[in-house]
This record gives sequence, structure tokens and C-alpha cells, in this order.
Amino acid sequence: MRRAVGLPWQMLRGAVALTYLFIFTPIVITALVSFNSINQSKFPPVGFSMRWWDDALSERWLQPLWFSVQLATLTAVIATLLGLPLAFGLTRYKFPGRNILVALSLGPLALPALVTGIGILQFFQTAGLAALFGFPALLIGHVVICLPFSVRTIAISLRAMPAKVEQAAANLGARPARVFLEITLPLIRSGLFAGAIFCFIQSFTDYSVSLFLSRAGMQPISIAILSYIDYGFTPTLAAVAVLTLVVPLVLIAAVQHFFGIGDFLYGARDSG
Amino acid sequence: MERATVDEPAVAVSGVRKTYGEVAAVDGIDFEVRPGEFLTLLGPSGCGKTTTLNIIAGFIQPDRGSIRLNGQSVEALPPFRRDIGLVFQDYALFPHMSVGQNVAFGLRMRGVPKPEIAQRVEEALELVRLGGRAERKPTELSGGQRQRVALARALVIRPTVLLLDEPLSNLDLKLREEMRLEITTLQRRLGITTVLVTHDQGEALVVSDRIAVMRNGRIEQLGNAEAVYERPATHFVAEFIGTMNFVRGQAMRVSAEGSCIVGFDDHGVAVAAPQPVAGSREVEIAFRPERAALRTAGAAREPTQLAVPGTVRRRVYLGTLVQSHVETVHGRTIIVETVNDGIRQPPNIGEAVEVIVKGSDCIAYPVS
Repeated sequence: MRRAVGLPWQMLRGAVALTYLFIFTPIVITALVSFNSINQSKFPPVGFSMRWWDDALSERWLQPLWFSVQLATLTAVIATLLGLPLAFGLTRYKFPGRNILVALSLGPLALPALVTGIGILQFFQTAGLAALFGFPALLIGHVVICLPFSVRTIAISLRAMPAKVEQAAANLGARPARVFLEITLPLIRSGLFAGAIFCFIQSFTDYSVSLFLSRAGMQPISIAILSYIDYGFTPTLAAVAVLTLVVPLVLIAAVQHFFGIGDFLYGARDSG
Repeated sequence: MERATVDEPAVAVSGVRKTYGEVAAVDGIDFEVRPGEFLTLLGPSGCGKTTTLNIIAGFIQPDRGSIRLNGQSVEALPPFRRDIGLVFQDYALFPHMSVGQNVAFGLRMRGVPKPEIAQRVEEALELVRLGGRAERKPTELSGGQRQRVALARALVIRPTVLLLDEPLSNLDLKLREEMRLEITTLQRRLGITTVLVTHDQGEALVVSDRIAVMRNGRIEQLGNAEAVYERPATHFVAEFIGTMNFVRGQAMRVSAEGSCIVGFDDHGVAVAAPQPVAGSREVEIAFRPERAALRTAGAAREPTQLAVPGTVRRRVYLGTLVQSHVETVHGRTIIVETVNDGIRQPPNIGEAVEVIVKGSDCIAYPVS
């Protein structure tokens, strides 16, 4: 690799530093605000207190947080399980209705999530499925908006697979199922995990679909925060915001550590 | 799979045809590969050679025709039940497996017991001179080494037939020549029936027992290296294999079968004509650069010789040979090779000469 010297590199570094500054400053301010000793979100914080963190770590906030984690995890799993055969069919086969399937599986990406949310709400109501509001409806809604992410990432990794390895396996005597399990699946693994991570984050941070599909006691953390913000941005909320930030970060770090999604995002370490 | 009887071909392809829309990729071909034989499917890209290979391997279903391996029909068998070793052009090694695991894969799929797998993998790697490299990842190997892993992976299953799909085209020249030799040595030593697909006629001449020259989905000629080089059956084969000179002449009289008298300028000679030519029609007269000679214009001509007047335009020095490029009065270029033996002196550029070639070294093809 070339040594990073010269004006263009200095400018790139500057740009990167600015970007990070822009991203991290509000987060740091939010984090600091949560340590205010008064019930106002002052910055710099007035005094130092942990009581807002006691609030944030109470059942009132941990319950929706845990709800969101469960919802996002299940959404990621289901979207990946649905996305895999979809991506497989779309990349490998030409069949009538393929374009419709492409449009259907990528559509939610183009549609504002708010519209999707209203659509699902109306559908459940007219179909007499109002009983599903809460976790089941949220799960369905989130899978719908997450599917494009899993289909896209899995399709990309299927296309990036080295050519002919599946034929080579078949030639060596592997039945289609064995080819899939021993060759295809390991080679698209990082794409699967990357897709699942995208889905988890999409679900975890969503509020526009969740807004319509939640019910009392079955609220994701985003909706809980949104309803609470009516009382103003209190230091408690700042602490909760930091908490919600930590969950996906820890998850990404863990998956990256064990499964290496960076391979997928920034070019594979060990192919080719 | 049953053992082949002595006379049974290891591979028999008959009447195979495969069309894509209007285009016939393979347009009715027949050939047999004898046990232990090295047969090459040679032709330019798009001639149907790779399609043929994929049909034998079972990746493409032919529209018509049959494939028999050791006498058993395999058209109905999926690729994973055909017992064929295939080396892909880009090797298609499994990147997530070590060299050893790559080679073991076929044995594992066949349910070979573990201790035997370990032993056979080691033997196979020794065979391709990669002993002790089993733990490496394919990415840690050079192109030539990957090629040898692919070869070991295909050979370890002891297949009925070994198929090689342009296996050397990704290697640089020196390595290609090395591997060429290695593959043929290995093939002879193991006595394994082999079908090679290549567009490289030089490669085909060196490695094959027999060559099937293909064009537009058909086999134009099937024969050993000498036959396709010395007696090309069609104009295409003549042009495709080696360097060939062509001059336009006229068929004057069709004499015995397979030969005719051709007229060129003011004289006529008897030449071979593998394809039927009609009397008083134009023909292309073909001859090799090493069979022609040069002499100063105007000298007397032997009755059995063809004499083509022209002017020397270029000299190409090749070390053991010197090529003279002669432009004929009709604007064609003829290449004449002179052995650089210090006796014969190639003419100078600009000199008026006559290219002399014996009629028995010429072949006439109908003008298409």
C-alpha cells in the first residue's frame, strides 16, 4: 500500500475528522447532559448526578428497550430467512413475474416508511386483524420494511461468489443440498450477517411504522421515547437515548468480532 | 460403475445437438474417446467446444444425442452422479477450504472413510508435487500451484474421464509450457482418459493423441496432430492450425478421388483435394511456409512445382528460421521459412522472387 502523504491525503483526513466530529459531538453532548443535577437538559451540565440514570434503568424504560431488542432480533432472523430464498431465486433464475417480485421485495425501500405503516394499519383493520396490534403486527411491519435490506445484501454476496465453485462441487459428487450447505452458505455468510445487522438496526431505530402498530405495553423503545418527549427533553431521556445507542453498537461489534461483516462491506479478506 | 471392456470407448458422444434460440451451439457431433486416450476439442471461441464439455459433465442438457461413459448412458444422470473429474479454467477452488479440504471434498461426498481420505489426499498432492501444502489456503498459492490443486482434486476421485477446460489459459507462457508437459506426463502415467478443451492450437498439437477441430458447433476434422497439420480436411482447419499460405488458382481437371489438377497463372500441377471441387471453378491452394522455397524470378520451373511470383516485403528473423514475407502480384502475402543453416541465403527486401512449392505439398479447397 502507498504511504498516505501529500495534500490530497491531508484533505481527506480533514474531511474524515470533520465528519466524525459532526456525528459524535451531539452524542457526546447528549451523554453529558444526562449527568445534570437539575431536571433540565443544560449543556454544559449543571453539577453532577446519577439519578436520571436510575430513572433510565428502571422498568419503565428497560421494558420497551428489551421489547425492541426482541422485536429487532426476530425481525432480522425472519427477514434473513425470507431474504435468502428470495435473493437466490432473483439472482439465479429467470422466471415469469420476476420483475414483479423484484419490485415487491425492493418496494418498501422506495416508499416512505410512514406510508407503509399506514398501509399495514389499514390492512389489519379492514381485514379484522386488529387483535394483531402489538408484537405480531410490529413484527410483520418490520419484516416488510427490512426485507429489501436482506434481499439486497444477500443478492450482492451471491453475485460476488467465485464463479463455478458450485458446479465444481456438483462435479465432485455433491448433491444440490450439500452444495448449498458446504459451498454456497459459507461463501455468502458475511453477506447474511451484514443483511441481518442492517435489518436489526432498521427495526431497532424505526418509529414511523411502529407508530401505527404498537399498543399499550407492547411498545418499542423508539415509540416510548417519542411519547415521553411530549414532556420535554429531560436528562432522563438523554440517558435513555445513550442506552438505545449502546445496544446496536455492542451488537455490531460482537458480530464483527465473531463473523467479520467488514469482509462483506469493504471487500473480502480471503477470496480470490 | 462397471469396468469397461477392451473395445468399449471410455467416452462416446453421438448425435449431440444443443441450440440456444436460433443458434446451434453444438450442431450434431459424434466422437469417441478410447480408454487412456488424450483427446482435444480445439477451436475458436464460440465453436461449441466448452458447451460439449459441459454436456459431457452434465451441466448442460443436450436437445438431442447421447453420451455414454464406459458404455453406460449418462444423459439422465445429474452432474453429481457422473463420476467425471473436471478442471475448470479458473480452477474454481473452494476459497473457504484449505488445499487438503479442497482435494478431500470429492472423497467426502463419496463417503470414503476418513483414514483413507487422508491417505489419498496426501498421495494426490504428492502426485502434483504439492506434498506438505495441505494446510494452505488456495489464496496463498501461485497460479500454477492452484492449477495443480485443481488437478489433484479432480484426479483423487479416480474418475472415469478427466475433463480439462482451458486449464492453462490463465498462466503465463513459461508456466504454461511447464504445466503442459506436467499434465501430459501425468496423464500418460495414470493412463487416464482425458478430454481437453482449448483454443490454443500449439497446445493441442503437443499434448493430444487426437484432435477434434471444431467450428460453428461441428467437428471439421478429427485426427492426430500430424493428420490435422499435414492434411487439413477443410479450409478452416488449414487456416486454424499453424501458419498456412493461400493462393487463388483454378481447378482444371478433377482427376482421381481426393486430388485434382489446379492451374495457376500459366501452369498446372496435381494437388490433393480433400473436399470435392468442381472443374473450372476457383480454388484456394494452401501450403505451409516450411514447404516452400524462394529463388530468383524467371528460372525454369519443374513440372511438378507451383511457382508464385512476388516481391520480398519483410524479413523476420526467428533464430533457427528466417521468414520472408512475399507479396504476390495479386496482393496476397506468402510466408516462406528458410532454415538458418548458413548455406541458403534469404533474399533481400525488395527483391523480385518466385515462391516454389511442390504440388504434393499443396492442398486445394473449394472457394466458399
